[in-house]
Amino acid sequence: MANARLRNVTKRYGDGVALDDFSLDIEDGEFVVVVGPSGCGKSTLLRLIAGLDPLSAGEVHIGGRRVDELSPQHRDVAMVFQSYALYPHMTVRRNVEFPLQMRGMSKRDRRVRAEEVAELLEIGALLDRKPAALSGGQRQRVALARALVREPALFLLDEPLSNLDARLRTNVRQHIRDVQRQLGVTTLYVTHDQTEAMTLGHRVVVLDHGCTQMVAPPLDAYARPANAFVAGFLGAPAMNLLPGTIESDALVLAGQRVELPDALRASIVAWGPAVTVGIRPEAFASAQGGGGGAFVVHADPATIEALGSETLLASDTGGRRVLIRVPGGVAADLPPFSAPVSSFHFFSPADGRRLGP
Amino acid sequence: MKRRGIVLLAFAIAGVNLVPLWLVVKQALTPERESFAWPPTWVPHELTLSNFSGAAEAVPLAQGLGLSVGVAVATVISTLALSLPAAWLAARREEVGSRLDGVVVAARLFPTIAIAVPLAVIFVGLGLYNDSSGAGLWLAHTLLGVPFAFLILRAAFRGVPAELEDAAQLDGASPWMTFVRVSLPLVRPSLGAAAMLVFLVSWDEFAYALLLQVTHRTLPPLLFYLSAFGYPGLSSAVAVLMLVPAVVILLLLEPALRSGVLAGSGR
Amino acid sequence: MRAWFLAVPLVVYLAVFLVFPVGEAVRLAFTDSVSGTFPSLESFRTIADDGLFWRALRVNLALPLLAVALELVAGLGLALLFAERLPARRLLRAAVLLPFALPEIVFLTILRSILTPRGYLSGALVGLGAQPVDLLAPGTFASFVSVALVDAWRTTPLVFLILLGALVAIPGEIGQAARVDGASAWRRFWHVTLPLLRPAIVAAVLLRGLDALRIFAAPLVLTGVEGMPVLSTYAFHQWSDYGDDGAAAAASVVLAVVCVLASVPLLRRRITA
Repeated sequence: MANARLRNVTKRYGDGVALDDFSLDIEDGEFVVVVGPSGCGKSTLLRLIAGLDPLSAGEVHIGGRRVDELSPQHRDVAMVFQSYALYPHMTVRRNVEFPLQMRGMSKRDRRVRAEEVAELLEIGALLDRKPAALSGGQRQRVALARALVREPALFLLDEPLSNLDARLRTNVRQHIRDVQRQLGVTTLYVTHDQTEAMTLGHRVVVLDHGCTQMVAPPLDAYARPANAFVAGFLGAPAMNLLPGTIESDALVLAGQRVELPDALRASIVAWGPAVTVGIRPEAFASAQGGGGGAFVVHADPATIEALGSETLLASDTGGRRVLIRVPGGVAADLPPFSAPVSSFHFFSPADGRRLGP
Repeated sequence: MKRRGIVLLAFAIAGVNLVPLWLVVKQALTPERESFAWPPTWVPHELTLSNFSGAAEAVPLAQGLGLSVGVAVATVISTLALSLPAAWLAARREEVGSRLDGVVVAARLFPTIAIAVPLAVIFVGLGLYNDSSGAGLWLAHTLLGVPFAFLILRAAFRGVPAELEDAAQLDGASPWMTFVRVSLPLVRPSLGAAAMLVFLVSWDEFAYALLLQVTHRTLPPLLFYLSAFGYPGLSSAVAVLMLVPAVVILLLLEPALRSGVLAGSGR
Repeated sequence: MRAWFLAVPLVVYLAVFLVFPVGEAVRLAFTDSVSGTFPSLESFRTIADDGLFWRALRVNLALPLLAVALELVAGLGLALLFAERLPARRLLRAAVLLPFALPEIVFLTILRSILTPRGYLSGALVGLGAQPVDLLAPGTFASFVSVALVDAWRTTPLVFLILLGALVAIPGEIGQAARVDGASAWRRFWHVTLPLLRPAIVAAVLLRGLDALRIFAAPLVLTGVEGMPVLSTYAFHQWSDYGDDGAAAAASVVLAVVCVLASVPLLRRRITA
């Protein structure tokens, strides 16, 4: 177990930049999730840390030791691949023992240790099978076992759940979290799935086009996204982002004049005149009376998606599509929905940066 | 009605294709005078093994057999030793692969005689011409084996996901251990197929064998001269000797042939 | 990174045993065999004055055309045959592949004893009341056809394998769709199957055509060096019967140039593909 420090890690391909000046400190035992759309550089990051690709610039320190000049086998890093990368010609047992064998552990110790880990990951009954005879979920657990068996200083996971079906994914997600907490192994987990980003880690790193957008505990990132990209990326359905204009005492949003409450007016007016306004779909509620200080929309009945526990709707307001999410069902006469100004997020239209606290 | 015709046609073609094999075996196992009979006989009247001893008296058959086996085995070893690392590299680095490809295809398509003639002249100078251990022939046969082995092995290494090698390195294996423990075991079927195919290429080879050796000949030139000098029985006996490994290997290779291991190897 | 060293042994080997001999062949071809002068066109003059060389060149250009045409027709026919359901399929397939499975020299020597005037074919014809034939008589059109036919017989299995692979890769739905559209069997073959096989046919023709240009053993074993000469046997003849390194190298260089010119379409295809 160890901490990991990444300093200005950069990877250039030809004239493109896959990862730009990435820095991050991971505490001992911490679980950090890196999330971003495909091509954002998150898999590159893992390969750089693991030593599978050379860095263009920067430093990688694991457990206080600089490792970016070392070859992969000397970095004490374990990795679970998206494809699992199980050795097809070896049994599960030999797969799990392989890292120990490469470190010269005796046959008997290997066996004991492999069985311990197999126990932890509930694959004890599968030890003498070949990977081809396993289900997707079982392969996944074998891959975890092989990575964890030698207690690596740093544990890397590259989209480990993307090849599992949706139901299995929930189970394995919880399992991975439990095992990580139980072993206390420092972990960096890469995904494009924002549910995994929200639920798994102590902290989440949002990455886009090779640049860090935000580093924060997941709920903080959800509550106060650092910029419009993070706001749009975390949360499902995605946050509505609408262009707005601030006038002397009101906000004009999609052709609608929204009065600004006294408490917020002064600060908001200072950001004007043009702003990007973010409203989460779940910020909407049935409008009562339609008082000032709120954005009011009329949902299109044709867009209703009733999921039982909640209902998703959409509204075309001032030429913009606005998504709405409310708990439970909606009344048959479909009332207007409103979101209060206090729930709004404001971003700069120029660079997407968050305005205000 | 139409279907019966198709089946009959297939069996007729198969039957015609069996004729040469049948006649070789027949001539090898009947006395020489039966092969000279007019009109020729299609079924043996008298069976004998005397052609084998006869061939051994007429030409240095034991020496030829030893040379054929020795050169073929040595060719397999040198061909695989040269091709394995290069094929792995070509499979992992596309830009290297396409260049090696061109060179190897050139080796495959270049006329044998245009290499054999200058090689014979060069070998005379080096003392490798007509070498009693067949060293010169071995070096030339390696040139014929390399394209087959390289193309088969490159296709095989392409089938091994690079992530498996990445995983092995992260599991603490050195590049060499990664190759030995992970990559190599996974291409073993193709390696076996390539080895057998290269053995056959050398075993069957005629042109270099004819040009590079004169008194220390392998089996194909011995067979050629026995046939050219009019000994159908004796030459057929040598032919049967040559057939044995060829048939055994092709039976072993049959599954590989069907599964496409040899696809693109052009043989 | 530093992995390129893995290709070094192969590249060095090919440089020594492919590139160097080719250079040596060119040097020999342009060296006067008698006086040793270089450069000299004496060797080319020697072969140009030799009628056998010109016969060899003509045969060398014509033979691949006939052989490849025969192989293509036979290979395509066999592939179509084997696309049907057949009993004892594996056994039949093995029989079809047999001529190629036999060592070349074995196949050729036995074919010689079949085709020779007192051979099995003549014997069979006499048995049927016909006259014996000499299909290997030096310089005759019959022996030209015989050599092409024997080479085609031996290498048809290769064409068959390439075309069968392409044929079974054609989805069955395409043929069924054409059938639903009311196309006859012949039209289905001509308008559906054949265009889909085109890439495989082109590949087979290029591969086999280039192989056939180098043909050596078949004419040598069946007709000797003078019966139906090609450039390879002519070079062998110059080298082994006259000991003329220069003339042999010159003939080899002519063949190599022919091969290189003929392989241009193949290389162009590789580049575009």
